[in-house]
Amino acid sequence: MLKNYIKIAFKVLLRRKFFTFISLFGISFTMIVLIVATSFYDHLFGPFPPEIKLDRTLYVFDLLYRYPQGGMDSADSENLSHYAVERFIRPLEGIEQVSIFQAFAHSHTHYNDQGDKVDSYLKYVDAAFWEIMEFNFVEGAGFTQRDVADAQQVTVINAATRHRLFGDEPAVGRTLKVNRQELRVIGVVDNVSRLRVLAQADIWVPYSIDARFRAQPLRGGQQDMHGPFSAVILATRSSDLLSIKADFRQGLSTLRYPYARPPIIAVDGYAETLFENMSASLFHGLVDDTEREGERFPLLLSGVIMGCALVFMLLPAVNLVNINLSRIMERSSEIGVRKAFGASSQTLVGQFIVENIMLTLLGGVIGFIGALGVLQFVNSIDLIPYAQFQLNLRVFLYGMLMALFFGVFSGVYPAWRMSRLHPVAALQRRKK
Amino acid sequence: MIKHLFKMVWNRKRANFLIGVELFLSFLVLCAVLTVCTYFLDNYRRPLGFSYDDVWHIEIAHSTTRGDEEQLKSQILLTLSTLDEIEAAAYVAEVPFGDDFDGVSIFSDDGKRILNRGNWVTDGLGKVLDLEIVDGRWFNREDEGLKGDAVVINEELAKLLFGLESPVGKDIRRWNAELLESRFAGDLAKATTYKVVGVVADFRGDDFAPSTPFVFRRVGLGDDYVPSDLLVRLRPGTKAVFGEKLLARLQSVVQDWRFSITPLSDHRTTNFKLYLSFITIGGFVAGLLIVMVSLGMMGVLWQNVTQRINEIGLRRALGGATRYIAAQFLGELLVVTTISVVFALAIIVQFPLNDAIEFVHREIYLGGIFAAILLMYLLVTICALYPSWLASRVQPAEALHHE
Repeated sequence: MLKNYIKIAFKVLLRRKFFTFISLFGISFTMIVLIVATSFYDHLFGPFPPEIKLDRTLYVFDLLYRYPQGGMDSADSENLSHYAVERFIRPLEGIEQVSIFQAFAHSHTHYNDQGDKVDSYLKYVDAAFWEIMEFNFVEGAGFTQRDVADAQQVTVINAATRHRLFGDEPAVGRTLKVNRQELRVIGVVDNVSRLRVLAQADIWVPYSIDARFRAQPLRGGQQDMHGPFSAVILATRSSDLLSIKADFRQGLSTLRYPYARPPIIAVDGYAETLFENMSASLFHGLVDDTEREGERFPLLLSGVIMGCALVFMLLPAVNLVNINLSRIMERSSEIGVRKAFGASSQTLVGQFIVENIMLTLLGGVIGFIGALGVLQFVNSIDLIPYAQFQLNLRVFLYGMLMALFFGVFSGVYPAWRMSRLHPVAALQRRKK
Repeated sequence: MIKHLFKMVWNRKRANFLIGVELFLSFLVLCAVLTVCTYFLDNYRRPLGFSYDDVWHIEIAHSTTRGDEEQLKSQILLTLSTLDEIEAAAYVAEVPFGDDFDGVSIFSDDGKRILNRGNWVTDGLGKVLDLEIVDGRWFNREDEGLKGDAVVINEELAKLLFGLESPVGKDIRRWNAELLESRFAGDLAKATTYKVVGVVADFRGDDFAPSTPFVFRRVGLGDDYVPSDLLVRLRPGTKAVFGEKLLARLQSVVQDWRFSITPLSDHRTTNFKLYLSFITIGGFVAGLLIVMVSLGMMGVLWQNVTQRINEIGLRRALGGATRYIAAQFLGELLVVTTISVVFALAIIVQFPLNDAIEFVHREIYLGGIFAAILLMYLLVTICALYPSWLASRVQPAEALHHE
């Protein structure tokens, strides 16, 4: 049955090529835009090196210190200190590893031996960082617990930095100067897209080489909690994520600093997945975020993304509906015959929807080819440093789902109208 | 004739309704794109209000645990003033071409927050960015006694607050009742107003930023808070290699702070590229959407002509001239277009009426909409040309023989 429908669909497509072209142009263009957007989404949130184990990873970006008044200004956020991590994160149940790192790499200028200006992003990390994050090492390896404990002056750089400083020659064992310190390169990794904010940098160094990042003596009070770090948690099993999140908040809930000025009535923190973390930072400041209750921002972001896709699909869908409707008459004799021989309206509706889905899937395939070209172009002009947008199985599946949805969305109404044609009237209209 | 056209449209209301929906959506797209384009173009042609040539941005990364940051920062400024290559230097909280400039708020007398943008700056900025003073003066040491409460505003804000009077020496409200109750209340005890010491022509953060009310708030080097971004003006003709010397000097003042140096013109290029890619991508997608709609419209009309061939034949047989028939098809589409546009306009005027897009000047908004209306009718006419011509070619005998 389906085979027949598809056969008929192809015959119809070939009948009046100008109209087929108009329909396909609209569908393919819509699909190109949607697939490119999906690829962008996947690039931001999908598991890519070094963040591959996303299903077991949680980030603790900062802690919130709440004041008595409500509203926008009633909480401060501060990053974490060694003490905060040791006391509230490391003892959690179900954790395989914890890494502390500086969440935002900061830009750093230095001049090489030729006197050329070199700007790089520098990030302070610990040894566990190299185990939780799976970087692709071009040569060498990340630093060890030992390196960090002894404050060894070592560094890992990305391929672009190696190219700039050493001209693509092996770099392990050579030194580079950061902040008057001679750092020995012990590893070179593939470039990480600047959009993967939490992992990306040009130069990664052990935090212990800088006095500011070492553990500070405790003085008692809120100051002990403030530090320069964020933490990334690798859970043993992905099913443990929920309990880790809850336990972490539970642990913090006992803390309060009533004698601080202004008094702090609660300390709050969230262990978040990458998507949750990114959505919270996107909506930070736009929405009253003092009540950053777990699911709210991710839901909001998903809603916004889906809403945008729907709104974007609206005009192409109406366009396709109009074209399909105006082509009903082409099919009148066929519909008349089928109805006269007893085909029910539902069967006809089914058939036309299948036809429309065929058309949109065909458009989807053309869309993929087009999107491939667009993405290659975007990658070639280096719009975002080190970002390589790609089409993979995930994007393909999302794309096909969207094409399917688009096919149903734009096919239902015309199919219903077609199935309602009266057989006698339909048979009367002969083709010229 | 017009009444007749409406009747024809009404007779086929179901088909026309969907065409109308499509035109309605397309018109919204056109309006959005053209308003955004005119907005950016209009902003772009306005003067920036400052000069960025020979200005470098030095970003300082430091910890906040030492306790002597403010002192070190003034020491850095002192060191910079001894360098021959540097004409002026100043700390700013937010740097042009990238930052948001949302750090300062002011209020009208009835406690309403006035939309404004602002920056915290030290005394040197007037010279660094070559700001044009139109009234009063730029900050200097005399303002020290005001404890960070001296401000320089732009002409737009001056006009908004004081009309034609000179604002120099006048006070601006910096808190409203709501803020007074917040946790900042402790800081408020110091002062509830800013004192205006001067007026600059204008200040826009980047090439595409709108010309809005703007406040420069003075930061003294002895204050509790000194920003961590430095802007320095170099003597014209200073080579880029001076950066190495500059960096060494900065490091010699504070060893464990880190500095990154970027010419302001580089920030501008980056910023420009960002805007441009957004505008290009948006324009490209919207353009293709419109092409798609135009092609679809043409196809639908074409089909209409073949469906209504009897009607056309009859009209021709009764003596209707070919141009009337062509005009009828075009006219019907224009009627549907007009109805869609009217509905869309009813929605679009809600935005400025509810102050949802305050930052877009009303003239710009109207200009964008006007351009969209023109373009809409132009596109629809082009789409209808070929089908209408086809309709006028119909031979009456053939058409009547059709059924």
